[in-house]
Amino acid sequence: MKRLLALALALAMALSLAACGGPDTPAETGGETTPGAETGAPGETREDLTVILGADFTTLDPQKLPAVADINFCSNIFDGLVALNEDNEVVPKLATSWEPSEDGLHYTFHLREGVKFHNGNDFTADDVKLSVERFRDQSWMQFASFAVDSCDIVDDYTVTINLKYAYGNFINMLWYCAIIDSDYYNSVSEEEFARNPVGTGPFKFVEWTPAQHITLAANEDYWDGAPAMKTITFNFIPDVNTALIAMETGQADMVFGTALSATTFLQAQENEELATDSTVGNSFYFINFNSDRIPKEVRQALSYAVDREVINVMVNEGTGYVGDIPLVEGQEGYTTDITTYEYDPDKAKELLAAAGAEGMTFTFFYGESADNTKLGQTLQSQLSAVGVNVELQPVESGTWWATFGDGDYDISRGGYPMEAANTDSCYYDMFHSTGTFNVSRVHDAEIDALLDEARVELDSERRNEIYIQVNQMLTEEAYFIPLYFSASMLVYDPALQGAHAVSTQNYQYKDLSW
Amino acid sequence: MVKYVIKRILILIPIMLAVSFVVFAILYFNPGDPARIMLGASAPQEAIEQLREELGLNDPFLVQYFRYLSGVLHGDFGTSYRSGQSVFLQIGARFPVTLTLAGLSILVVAVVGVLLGIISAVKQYSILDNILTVLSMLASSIPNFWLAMMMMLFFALQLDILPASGLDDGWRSYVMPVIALSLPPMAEVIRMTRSAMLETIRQDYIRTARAKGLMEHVVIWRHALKNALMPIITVIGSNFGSLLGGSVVVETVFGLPGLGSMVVTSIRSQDVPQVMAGTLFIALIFCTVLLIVDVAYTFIDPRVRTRYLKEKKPRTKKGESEVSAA
Amino acid sequence: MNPLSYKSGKPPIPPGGPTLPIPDEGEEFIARERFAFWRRFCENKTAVFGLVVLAIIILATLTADLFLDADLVNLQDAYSRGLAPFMHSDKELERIAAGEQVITHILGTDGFGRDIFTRIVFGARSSLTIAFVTIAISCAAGLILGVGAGYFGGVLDTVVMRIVDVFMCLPPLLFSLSIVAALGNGMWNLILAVSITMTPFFTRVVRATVLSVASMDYIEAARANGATQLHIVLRHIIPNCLGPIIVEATISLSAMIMIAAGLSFIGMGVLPPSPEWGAMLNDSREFMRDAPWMVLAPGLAIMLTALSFNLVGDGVRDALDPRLKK
Repeated sequence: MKRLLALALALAMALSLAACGGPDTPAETGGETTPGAETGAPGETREDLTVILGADFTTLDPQKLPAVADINFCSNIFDGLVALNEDNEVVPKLATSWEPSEDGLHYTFHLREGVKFHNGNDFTADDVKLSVERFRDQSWMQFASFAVDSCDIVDDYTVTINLKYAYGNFINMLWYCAIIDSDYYNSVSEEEFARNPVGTGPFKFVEWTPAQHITLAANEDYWDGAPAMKTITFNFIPDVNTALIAMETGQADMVFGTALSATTFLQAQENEELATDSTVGNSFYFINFNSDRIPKEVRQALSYAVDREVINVMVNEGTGYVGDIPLVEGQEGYTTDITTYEYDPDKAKELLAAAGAEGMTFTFFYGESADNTKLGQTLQSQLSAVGVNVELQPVESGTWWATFGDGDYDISRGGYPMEAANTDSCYYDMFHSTGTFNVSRVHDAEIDALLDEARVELDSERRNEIYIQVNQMLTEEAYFIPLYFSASMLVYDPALQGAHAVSTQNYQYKDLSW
Repeated sequence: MVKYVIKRILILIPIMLAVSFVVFAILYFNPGDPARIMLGASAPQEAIEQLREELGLNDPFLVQYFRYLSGVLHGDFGTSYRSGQSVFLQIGARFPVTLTLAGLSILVVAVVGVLLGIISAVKQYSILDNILTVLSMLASSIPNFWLAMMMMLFFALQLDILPASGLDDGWRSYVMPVIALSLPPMAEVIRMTRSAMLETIRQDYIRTARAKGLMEHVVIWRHALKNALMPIITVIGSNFGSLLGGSVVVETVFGLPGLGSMVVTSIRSQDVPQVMAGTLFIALIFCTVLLIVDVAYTFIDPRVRTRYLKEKKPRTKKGESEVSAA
Repeated sequence: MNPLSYKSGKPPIPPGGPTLPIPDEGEEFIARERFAFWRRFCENKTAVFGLVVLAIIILATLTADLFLDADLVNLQDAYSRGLAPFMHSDKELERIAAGEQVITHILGTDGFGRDIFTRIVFGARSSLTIAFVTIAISCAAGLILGVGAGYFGGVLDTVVMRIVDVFMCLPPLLFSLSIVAALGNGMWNLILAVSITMTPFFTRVVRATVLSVASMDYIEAARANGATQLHIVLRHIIPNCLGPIIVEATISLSAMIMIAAGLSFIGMGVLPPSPEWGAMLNDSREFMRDAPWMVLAPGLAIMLTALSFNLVGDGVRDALDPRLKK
């Protein structure tokens, strides 16, 4: 009997040791991770994290990522030469220092030595050259790489990036350029490369089960110190309600972005077992008039007909930050002097009558999402109050992206992730006649000239003045109805250290611990 | 017998080919340009044209179809327009999920449905029978996606005894989806089993069996059920279609990474290769079940068996066998 | 929803007499039959209950404008969002205090502050329209194809039935889904899609009936009397197919309601802000935890309508073929 008991005890000890995994053996997981948070005995510090993401990825090729959320995710696997910290300052990453040339056309970067990729390869100038050139050539990266001309290797740990023209904001956009391993890239197919990312970042890619989860493991040799979390499982839960339930039942530890809606965030706030945090997000939302089709007078009239506060309530449960211009304090072009059209349905009717546009029907063309459907219905309801009909034309959001450029709509909506430290790329994209996100179809020679001037202007003060001028013109012309900055919301396990809402939703899991 | 089964399996091939043609034709009319979707709004027109040429999107419909078909026959289901990755990879990850879901559901439908139906018939007009009749009437009128939502509200949220979504909890993840899928068809099976059993119980040979003094359960299980099985199997088979279709919606509600939810997201994003492959595999599951049902007839009913073995005239082969089976 | 379970082609037995009268097309017989049908139908209490409920639903839908304000269907109110049944918002209470007429939200309000009861009642219009129109279209198409295939046989039969076989290899919901994807959203596209999906089912039912009817003696007799093909089809074949078709149609109506709601639920059918029940469920999904009445009401509406269609359908079947109901 005693022997049996001893055996049982020994077994139990062995099992508990196995469960601990041993604190000094690095978690070289072979893909065997147990999803589900509540593992491990009480009192023991967890080393795993389960995060909910709203959508699966289409690719993990860091230079073909279609969405900001994907870019943010991959910045945990890949490093750039530089990074933006939370105060939106450029900080060194794989480059320890850099200096621009006098004319602002060439940037010389001194690379960090002794950094290794996840596969053991050394990080050198070759990798930077390939990465920067690929960054320049990939169409998805154009928004950040448009000024890049070429990359020269000076020596193994020094490179020079040459620009097409002096671009004051170049260094602010460089963090989008993920550094990839040139040897690895050249040895595998594009498809393999997109499925098995190898970077220098704090986390290594482990496995990807489509539509279910992605697992990352800590890079114990990370140049900036090993992260506290040894494994992170990212579960894809497209439904916000389901995502919240998963949080409540302890299946997951943090959720943000598209997996969280204003409603579920407010529900989470009422739950004492969950911690919540929110801050003003960087995405600004517009209702865009197609200025090719709707004349200025009608645009102004319609602007008076829309109650933006009500839209914020209907779409965001009031969590958004209604704003008159798509900028926050500290950004170039920000001013409190510009206010947009006040809600005044009577004035709207008057102006519509004057413009002879009563009883008109407009199409509202948008990419399907819960928020856009609500926005469409609310807009429809508000405009019908001033006698204007709105016909909803939803398409799948990818289709919207592919086809809005045809301009086959009267009204559409745009949401733009504003660059905290770069007004140029956003404004050029949205309001220049050649911009790729010109949903309002602004074709204004004067605005074009101003934006062109600002792009190559190296003096920040001067740029600020130009953008204020642009803002005034945009408001006067009523190309769009400015709505709000969405809130950047985060729901997490209260025991999670270092978690707080980040404006850009660029969560760095390295900073988290239990 | 074996010959018949082989023949039925061989019929599957032209049917699947035709199904692929139908689906391909429908999707061909899908608005939206895959090349633009792949390249994004900022891509220049020349690049789009070039990609269209590379993908063969400018070729005539039939050329495109046969190219796709020859790819499929070589095990290549194309690459997703959205992710640029092999569709086969997605299918490989998702097919087992849908197969498990559908398989478990049909099992529950058959076993529980038939059992309850027999109880209902044997205890005709009892309280139990009445309750089952009312419940099955209600159950067959419940939209499965709504049932799914209600269960999620109750079992996952209120009681917290089942996972709300995903597949992380092994078999427990399947409980609610399987119930949501199987309840409405199960109601049909209960009703059909009840009426079929009642009909057979009244037959003379059952009376004879009873008169011979056979035990009641032997009469029910050996004699009555065997003869009532035909319409029951028919009803299971014919409900499998709505069950499988329902999985499209139920997978979406529960966030299950199956073929159904893939088809829904891919249809919205006009990812034709993924829709094609997903639909084909769902159709394959469906056809296989119909085949099993057909083959089951021949095992159960000697009349059908002899007819298939002897009959040479193919004219009334398919449609009629199922009708006359009822 | 099971096209195969109906025993087609057997003339109904008039109550009170076990002998089968040879059906002729005499006026007197038809009148007698019709009366007997009603009597048998009315004997079935659940069927009558279903019919009453259905009548109330249809009546309420048609006369909705008399007792409800159609403007309220899409009237949003930021102050009345998510009101529980019978609750009033502060604004509304102020207006009531000021002596104004304010409607009572007997089913509460949704996320836009719209009155759910008004939306449900007006939503019944689209749901019922979809159900009836799709059934009408697919019945008509099924009748033409089924009679063509069954009566004329030959190549036509082979071609039609092979196509039907293929179409029936796709789960109905999935098939409709892909057609809607190709046609685009909207109620009429949804109707067309579901009609195409349902036509094969009706074609099968009709063909099976035609096959059994066509071999009857009185058809031979008519032919011998020199009746034209058209006359035989119109006077003998089609009238005899109507029974099974009506049964199948009534029972399928509930399936139509569900398919339409299911498609709208996943955003592939009737678009917001139309108060279609499935779309309403989708709209309110995110509030279901705090405001369960938002998802309860449309779900119950679907269920009740489907239930009454099912009950009526069963009643019709039993009344037409009393052998099933003993």
